[in-house]
Amino acid sequence: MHPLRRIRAYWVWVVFVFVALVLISFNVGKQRSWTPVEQVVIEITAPLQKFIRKSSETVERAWLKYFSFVDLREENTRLKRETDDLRMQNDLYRELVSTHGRLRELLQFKESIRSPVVAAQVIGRDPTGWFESILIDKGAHAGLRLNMPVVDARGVIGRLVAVSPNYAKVLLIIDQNSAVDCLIQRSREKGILKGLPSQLCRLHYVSRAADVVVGDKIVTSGMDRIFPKGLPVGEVLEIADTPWEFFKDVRVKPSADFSKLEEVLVLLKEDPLSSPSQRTK
Amino acid sequence: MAWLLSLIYILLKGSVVNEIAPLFFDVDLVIVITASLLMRSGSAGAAVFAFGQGMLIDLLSAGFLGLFALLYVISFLCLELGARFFDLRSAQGQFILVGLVVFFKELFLVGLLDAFAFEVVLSASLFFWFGASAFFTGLIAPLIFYILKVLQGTTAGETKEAA
Repeated sequence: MHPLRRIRAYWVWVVFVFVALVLISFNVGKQRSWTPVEQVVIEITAPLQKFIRKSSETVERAWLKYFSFVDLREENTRLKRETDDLRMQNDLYRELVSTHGRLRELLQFKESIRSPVVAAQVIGRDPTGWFESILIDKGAHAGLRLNMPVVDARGVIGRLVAVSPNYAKVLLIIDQNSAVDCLIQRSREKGILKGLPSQLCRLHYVSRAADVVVGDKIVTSGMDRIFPKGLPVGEVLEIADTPWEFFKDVRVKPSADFSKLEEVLVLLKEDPLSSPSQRTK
Repeated sequence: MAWLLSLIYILLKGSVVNEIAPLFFDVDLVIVITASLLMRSGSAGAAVFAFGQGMLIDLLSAGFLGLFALLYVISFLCLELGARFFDLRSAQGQFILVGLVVFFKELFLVGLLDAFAFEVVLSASLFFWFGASAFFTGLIAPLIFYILKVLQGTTAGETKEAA
């Protein structure tokens, strides 16, 4: 290969590695929302993501329906038609009941908290599988800002880490980079809740003398100024007390079911971590 | 076409694939398409594609910006270096090279996560899933190469006719 062509083949790689490293060094360990350019990308891709999610749900329903139909093939035509009709009606009814139940729970929860809230639908999940985040279909136009807490009828879900005009990204409490200041409801012992792989959490910094038993409810302490005090977070699943450790190893099962997130509530609460000048903007 | 296919794949991963697939099983279409672009469009096109797709994943994920961009640029380099030893025009070469690069990518990702994000506990099952991801990505690589070749041929034909 001609030396100049060889150099040309490598400059591309060198430039991109340099740009990626600069991005990493500017962003690692920092909290930042999407830049205007990134917001444009999200505004373009998120509707497609929403469409894909809706389509996949439709395909899944049709697929399940197909399997239900296979068993009925041996029945006569009249009964089959009747069964199909009833089944479809039943599916529709069940879907309505299920949606109604979820929305009623959300409404009850909404009434139990004092902050104004915005309901949002989950349109996508983290594509990497290594981090735990979701994309929701409400953004700055609906009043959403960085660090607003996100909950569902069962408890705390996470907080907003990036916001575009119509969409927002939520860092879930089961992510290993998330941290929530919590209390054990019964004994009022404190700890910091962090995510673990496999959709569980660990309550850090619970001293060995602390009064904690399996089944204890964990609630937010309000000390991090992001989550209001007293929101349900989960319950103690397992405790390990190792003699040479300073703290107990407390495993927590979150109240929310993160595998079935469909609708969430965002508490419209001012970002306590932003500077006063940013808040007035 | 490659960009659109990859975009749909990334969005599908965020909507469906990650919900049904095992946690660390990752059939990486981005690397397959990068390899295909490297063979057909040359280094610059493939590098821009790898960087762009990495950035898109970074935007949609809760990780820090630049992580996947760097990861895919490194993967692109591995493909470029590997293409000197394996023939990307043969199905065998595609299977071996893509599989190796996916496996290397997973290892490099673990290293980056461990350095910058959180501690990753290495286990036999993790390596099993990395191996499975590499094997299955390598397995579908010839098919994706063929599909992209056909699509590119169709698009080129349409452009020629329009001209």
